Amino acid sequence: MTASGHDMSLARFFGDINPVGPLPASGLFRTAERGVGVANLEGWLSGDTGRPRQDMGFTAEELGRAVIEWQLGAVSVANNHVLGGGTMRLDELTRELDRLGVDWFGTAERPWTVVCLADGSRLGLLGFVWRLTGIHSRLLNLAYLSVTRQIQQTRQLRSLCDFLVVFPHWWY
Amino acid sequence: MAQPWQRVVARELLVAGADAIVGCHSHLVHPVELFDGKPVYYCVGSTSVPRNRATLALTRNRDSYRSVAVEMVLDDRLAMSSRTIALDASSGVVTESQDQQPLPSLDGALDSEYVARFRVLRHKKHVPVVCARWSDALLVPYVELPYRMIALKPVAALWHAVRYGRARTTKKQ
Repeated sequence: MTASGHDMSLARFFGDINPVGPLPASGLFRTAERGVGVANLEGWLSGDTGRPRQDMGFTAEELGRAVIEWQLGAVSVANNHVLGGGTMRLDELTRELDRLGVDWFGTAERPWTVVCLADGSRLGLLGFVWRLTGIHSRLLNLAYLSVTRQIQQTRQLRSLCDFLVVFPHWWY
Repeated sequence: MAQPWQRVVARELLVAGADAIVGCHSHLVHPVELFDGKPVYYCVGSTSVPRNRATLALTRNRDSYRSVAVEMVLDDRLAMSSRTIALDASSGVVTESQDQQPLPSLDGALDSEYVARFRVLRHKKHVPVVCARWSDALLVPYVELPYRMIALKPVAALWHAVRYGRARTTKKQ
């Protein structure tokens, strides 16, 4: 802890995780002080359980493993692949994340989340995806050239948390 | 390298109250930059690397491609700082790399100098440079063209259906 003189880990941020690439080793997101692991989930919940597949759908088993083995605490769904399986798959993904107890953020409905850390402090996470990455659905927290909405969201979230990290999915 | 637009937006987000920015999407690790002591990681890379012009240019030199995780830490003065953890995916599983090198930094780069440098060094020369100026609005139709072509797919499918129907009618006659 900080009182004993060493730095305390709050969170570990990882980039895009998708099921077509190598997956993180067990416990990669685990921090010494039970901080939270945060990543961008590039994919949806797929009903197809066979491997290898070309699409970017996670099976429910893979998603469950992501939470338990990798120690993921919060995920952003604001990316240009998450709607690749349709809006229904996104709904299923978020429902499964809720069931697994993982905080998720990055949609128009839920652009941010506030995670309570082990030391009692609150970590605010704001996710958005830039329009020119190829996504155009307003279901996600979509950012245009001006990023006006995301700046307003940052101001609002600032008052709700002790630490604020913006987690954008942006070009280039 | 980060688009000049991203540097401007990052500054605005930090002024609005963000403590740090950790970006992703481009599958490559970009330099880090500090604004008023707050870190901006434009892109921390990805475990899955598509074969495009930018990634091919960088992955030819195996050492130049890295993916990193960013750890936010709280110091004795209860201030948040950050450090990077280099990752290695060569074994098929993402683990912490033995070779922990600091990320290159953009600190102190002036906007105009950076734009000029970016124009020369960027790998995707076909992608326009977005600088967070009014002139960016002119670029939008060009940048969005591939996505508009995708939207035209149903029209193309209809055209093929009409051609197929015509061919069948001709064959019957």
